[in-house]
Amino acid sequence: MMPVKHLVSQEPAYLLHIWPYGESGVMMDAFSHRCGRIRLIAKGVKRKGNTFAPLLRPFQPLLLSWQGKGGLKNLTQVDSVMQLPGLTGDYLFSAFYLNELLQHLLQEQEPFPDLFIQYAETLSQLTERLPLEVALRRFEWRLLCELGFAPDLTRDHDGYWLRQNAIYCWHVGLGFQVASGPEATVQDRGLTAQQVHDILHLVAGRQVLENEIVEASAQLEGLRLSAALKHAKVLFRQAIDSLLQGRVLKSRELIVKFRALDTVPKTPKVSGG
Amino acid sequence: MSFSPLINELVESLTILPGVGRKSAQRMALQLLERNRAGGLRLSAALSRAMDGIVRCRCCQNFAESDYCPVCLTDRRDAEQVCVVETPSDLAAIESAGGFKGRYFVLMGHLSPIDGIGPDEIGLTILAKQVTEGHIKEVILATNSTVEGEATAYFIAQMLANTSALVTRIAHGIPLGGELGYIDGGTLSHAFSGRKPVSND
Ligand SMILES: [Zn+2]
Repeated sequence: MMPVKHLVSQEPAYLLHIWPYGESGVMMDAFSHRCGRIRLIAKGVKRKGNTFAPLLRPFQPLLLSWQGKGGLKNLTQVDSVMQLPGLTGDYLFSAFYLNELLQHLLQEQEPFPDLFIQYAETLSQLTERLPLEVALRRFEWRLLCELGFAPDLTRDHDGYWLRQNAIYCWHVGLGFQVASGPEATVQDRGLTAQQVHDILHLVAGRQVLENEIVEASAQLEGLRLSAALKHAKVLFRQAIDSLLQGRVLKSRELIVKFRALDTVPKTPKVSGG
Repeated sequence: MSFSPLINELVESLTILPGVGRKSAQRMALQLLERNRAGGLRLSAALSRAMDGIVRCRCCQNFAESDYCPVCLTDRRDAEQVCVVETPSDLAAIESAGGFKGRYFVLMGHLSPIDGIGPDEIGLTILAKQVTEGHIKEVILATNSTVEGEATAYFIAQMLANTSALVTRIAHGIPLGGELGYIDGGTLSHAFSGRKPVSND
């Protein structure tokens, strides 16, 4: 029997990472709609006049076609869906963070079609410079849900509804427990049922409309929104860190360093020459 | 494998070269042993001299054979302009194009969190120190137009924002003689966002 050539044609995908391979080729990890995270090889793309090369950029919606099953897949065609304007500054570094999460947390070739949609949406929110923290927290939430590690934001670890007058702390593998003693006062860790509920409110947007984010912010206002963002950040980080098993995310460090630069007071610029 | 241990070791060592797999490594090894022993010895001597003798320039991080590279040592270069590039081959490309008379800072890479490369790994603290302490008036960012190159440029621009140096980015866009119809969307939109007023002088 002839071996069947495995072909995938025009699969919606984003590149997560691309690096040189051999003399003039590249290897890349991509996140695709129906095949999940995959590794592809494209030979000869760095030669002059190659038409793929300029399209092979992360954060751009692409249609990829490839040949081959298993580990080694050869890229046969790249089409651009549309050209998104380049991300800048904080938004660009945050996009690196999304990619680093996917790169480390998704099993190769395991499809996550809903997460793909969320990723695409998050990127377009970053491109439009919509509220960054809201977009990131929602992405993290969707990722945790898809991986089966999202904290239960309605019940405690015994399965009871969270009680209004109690303070809870969340623990990996256990969920929310009534905080005991000094634990409750740890910065942003001890949460009231209302504060947990606000996190749920923040992340549980189902609509795919671009003004969704604005709606969510409108329901949670001012201090309550910023508190929910802060609490969600701490909570999700705990959950993500437990999945990373000690691996440090370099993009997180980079974002912290970049924001630290931003706080330096600026002096007027003297033009050269 | 029916080769002796020394040959196997040589083949194994040759596979560290970029683009050289086991097959080509074997061909290279046998070719040197059969037909060009003198060349092989020359290669091995040059390799070991280079590996021992080549260090990083203390000023620009480029490869050098003493504490400082020739570009940093000469007083014929404009010390007020520094051009930031990713690799020595980018530097070589700018040098062979001619026209630039300033100095360089070679990052030996770019920011790439997924590869574990942050600002310290590419020497950005050293660059910041040179700009704040030195007489540098213009920092030209000539990193690649890849997302990592762009990220590196943003980071450096932000890092130097409160210094007195002017930070510029090389233009990316339509190649000389290029026709718009044949240029990809990414390059074209980049060229658009980097447009300049037309002057007549
Ligand atoms: Zn030097």
